[in-house]
Amino acid sequence: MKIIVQTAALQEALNLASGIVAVRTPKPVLQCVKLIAANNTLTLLATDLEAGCRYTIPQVEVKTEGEALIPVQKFADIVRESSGEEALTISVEGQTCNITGAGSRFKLLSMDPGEFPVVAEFDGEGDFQVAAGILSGLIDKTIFAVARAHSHYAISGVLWETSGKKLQLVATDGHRLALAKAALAKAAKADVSAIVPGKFMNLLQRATGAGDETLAVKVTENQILVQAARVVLICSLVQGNFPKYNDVIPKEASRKATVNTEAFLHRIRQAALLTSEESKGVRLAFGAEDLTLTGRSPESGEAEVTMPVKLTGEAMEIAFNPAFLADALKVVGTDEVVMELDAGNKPALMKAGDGTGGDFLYVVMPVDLG
Amino acid sequence: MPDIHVLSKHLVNKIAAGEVVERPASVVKELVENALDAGASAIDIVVEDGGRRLISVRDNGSGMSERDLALAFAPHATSKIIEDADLFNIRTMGFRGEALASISAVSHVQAVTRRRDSAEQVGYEIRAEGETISPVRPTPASTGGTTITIRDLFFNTPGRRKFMRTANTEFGHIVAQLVRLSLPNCNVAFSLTHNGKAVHSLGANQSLRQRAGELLGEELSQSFLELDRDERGVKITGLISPPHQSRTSTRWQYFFVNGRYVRDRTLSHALREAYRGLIEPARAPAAILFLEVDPSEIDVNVHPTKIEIRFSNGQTIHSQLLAVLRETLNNADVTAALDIDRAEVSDSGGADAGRREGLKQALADFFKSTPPTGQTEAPVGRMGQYAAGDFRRTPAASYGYAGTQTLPQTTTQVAEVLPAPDRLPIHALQVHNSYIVTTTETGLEIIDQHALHERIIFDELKTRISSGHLASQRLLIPETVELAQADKTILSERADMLERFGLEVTDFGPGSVAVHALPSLLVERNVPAAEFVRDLLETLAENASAGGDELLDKILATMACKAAIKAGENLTPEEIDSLLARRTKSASCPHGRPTTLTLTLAELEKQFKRT
Ligand SMILES: Nc1ncnc2c1ncn2[C@@H]1O[C@H](COP(=O)(O)OP(=O)(O)OP(=O)(O)O)[C@@H](O)[C@H]1O
Ligand SMILES: [Mg+2]
Repeated sequence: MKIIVQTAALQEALNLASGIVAVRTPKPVLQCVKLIAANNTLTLLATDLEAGCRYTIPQVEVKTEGEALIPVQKFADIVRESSGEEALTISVEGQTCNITGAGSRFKLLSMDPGEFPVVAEFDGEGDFQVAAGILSGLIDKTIFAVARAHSHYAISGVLWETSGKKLQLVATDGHRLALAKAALAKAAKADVSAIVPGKFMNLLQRATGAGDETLAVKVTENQILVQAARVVLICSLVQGNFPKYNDVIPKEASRKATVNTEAFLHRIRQAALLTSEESKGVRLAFGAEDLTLTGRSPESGEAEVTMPVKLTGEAMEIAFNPAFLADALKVVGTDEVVMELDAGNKPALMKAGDGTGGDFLYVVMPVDLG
Repeated sequence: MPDIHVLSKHLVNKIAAGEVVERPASVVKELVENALDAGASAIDIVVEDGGRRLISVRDNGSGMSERDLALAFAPHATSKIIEDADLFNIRTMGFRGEALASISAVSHVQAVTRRRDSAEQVGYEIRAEGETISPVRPTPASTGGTTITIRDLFFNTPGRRKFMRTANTEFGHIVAQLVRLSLPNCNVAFSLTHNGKAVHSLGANQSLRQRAGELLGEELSQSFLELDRDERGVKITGLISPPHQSRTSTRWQYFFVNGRYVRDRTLSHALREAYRGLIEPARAPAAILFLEVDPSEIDVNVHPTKIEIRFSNGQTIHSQLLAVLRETLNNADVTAALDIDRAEVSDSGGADAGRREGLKQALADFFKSTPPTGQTEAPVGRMGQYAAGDFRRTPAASYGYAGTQTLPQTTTQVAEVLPAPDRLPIHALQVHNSYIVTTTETGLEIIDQHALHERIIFDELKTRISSGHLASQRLLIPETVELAQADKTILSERADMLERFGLEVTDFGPGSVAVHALPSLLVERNVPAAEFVRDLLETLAENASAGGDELLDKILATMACKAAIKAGENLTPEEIDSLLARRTKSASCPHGRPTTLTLTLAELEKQFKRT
């Protein structure tokens, strides 16, 4: 193999690829990136066996086609430290991989490319297409609710579902549930339902950004593949059953409270300043026109803050973990939110205001402060 | 002093009964052992009111002849041994000929029996209570076997009767007996019915793993490693837990010698020894171990309920058991089964290299005066803007998305407003990811981060519970936890107390419960519901006799321990500050270990020989 490749393009590819290698692995090949030079493109493959990527670089001149398998960290370091050079020449002879610039030359040991695990390819058109910006928005609105600790529900991932022209993401950690929907430009060719690991979605956001670029998504029995212009990202799905989320979304509420999102978030943070580690609860007293939030910490003191609210239904009190409310308020993206409430020990439903209510739903369980 | 006189036979029996029959569960044990000795393949146990009102054991074993039945309730009447030498060749559970006599001395007994080999549909019945034994009468009997029914236990010994606990507690002991009796007899079917409800129904000819699954929970049972070794006259078989399935007490350890459940220091010592270094010192493995030795090698006649035995060669047994256990653990490659989080903790907490690395890191961070990079550092509001490299963290770490991080809650909120954390004065250093070293006016202090945090939480919880119940986070999706029946009983018995802790649990069919609410504190600290419920049960079991307040403290201590920062957890400067700011006066953790060691300048000077 012998190629001349644009340094900047290579560096961009390696930024992504070096994030996917396995760290704690006894297998050195998993700490490598595989280079394939063919048809006048360079393809970079990386995988940690769960997630993987295929990155194509067209800014290359292939002198001799071929493959190489080299340690990604060292390779990335070399390329980063060569950013002053317009292009680098990479050639492989036997076990040695030479990386040559103007006045610099590095040798890396290349392993047998045949040892590298298979990284799936994206063939066909995929099941549906979505703009990167829209997908990124849905991810923002759900990923915070993914379970952090291990639990025996398959909720360490986000459920992706399409039906016709609708794409919906759902996440829950057993205490709260976030659901975000968006319309697709074209109906899905096949409806999908898959649980995607949370960390893969971080990678996806990083790789594809929030622009207009159209992404093609394909779901197989055990993998999800996302194709962007330069890169295909692949990840194993979480196996198992996602909880029946429809059952936990309250259908009716005796009260509706409309509040300004930003003010609400601000007040919650204020009240949370005086909560104790033990209780971590902020009490919300909804009155006809005012919402009063109180925090209490036996060691340090109390906080009481008030803000306007539009309430239909009777006054009531309910307490929440302030972080749970804040998480949703930070991402809802509308000026107002509507809280639908029933009782102090029943789930609360938060919806985006401004008539887009159905596009973001957040169910959160209260805290019993005693 | 009154004159010495010989006790009446009646009184002698009552005293003997006290040794054999301690509580309803002891009756169950004796009756089931007799049924096993009679070669039964199915044994049905029926209990009412925790055994206080009724205990009935039916078997399909050999049955008794008219003559044997008449003798069975007489003291020192047994069919199982004849002469002295037999005492060292015991292959049956019974040998003293004392159980039935002891039981009938303190209850109303009815026995119906028909020999299995008899062709007639006729058996015999006898009734006994205290001294009086009625004559044997023929009675219709459709099948072979024996049914013995005990009513009104301790009706004539008010002292004992007073000592019986609630029906639930007594029933819990019966279930515990069932576990001990049925594990070594997997070929025998058992059923247990309490107040008309079938509690256990164990099929005949099960594998040990199947039976253990039904009795101790599937999750544990599936994880068990298998043991099998026959060497130098000692056969050792059974199941042991992999290290990551360890428990907080030895309650999950079952030792059987020649089919008999025993407690034995030699055996438990070997087990503990085998896991040393694989699990934290405060935890214990679960195990079901069977030893088969020549009956002449053991003395079973050393304890009234036969729960202790004596080995003629304990040393050999110990080393043989230890060897098998070690080999099994080694072969299982148990380290690979540890999850990453655990591995991380034990890396930095245990291995020397890890410690050195931790120290180096801490020193480097200290001098750089920037927050150390570690999994606890996940500032609020940076969601979706992960820098390169975040993907490589462990899953737990890369999910530190947002403001639900515990300890630094208040300080991270401040940090959101303030530009950089390095405005905070540095006056403390974390070493080995476990200790915090800080200067004082007169010297320096070394703080155990786990012990200190545990103390702080414990005090907060105590204040809180004295004025109501703990804050409780309701679950949107109830979490199910697999539990043995005895444990479910304990939970339902303590429902009121659990509510004060913010724990809400309901029955969820055989072998499991559903958790609907958990203490907020534990939710914050990501403690899985199942883990907490199990540890709580162990605390309850270990402190069964503790009074209200003492028990309360024990449970709060369990919670504090679960929720506290662990040794090996990397802390940000904000977290260290927050911890130090909340220090209390008490210098020991709830378990009594010190939280802080002080070194004065005077002591330092002395050590450096400056004086
Ligand atoms: N379920 C039964 N089926 C057949 N025979 C029985 C049964 N229960 C008791 N027996 C007979 O009654 C005798 C007395 O029983 P008991 O339990 O009092 O003494 P043991 O079993 O011989 O000794 P130990 O006191 O150690 O239990 C037994 O030896 C046995 O012959
Ligand atoms: Mg007996």
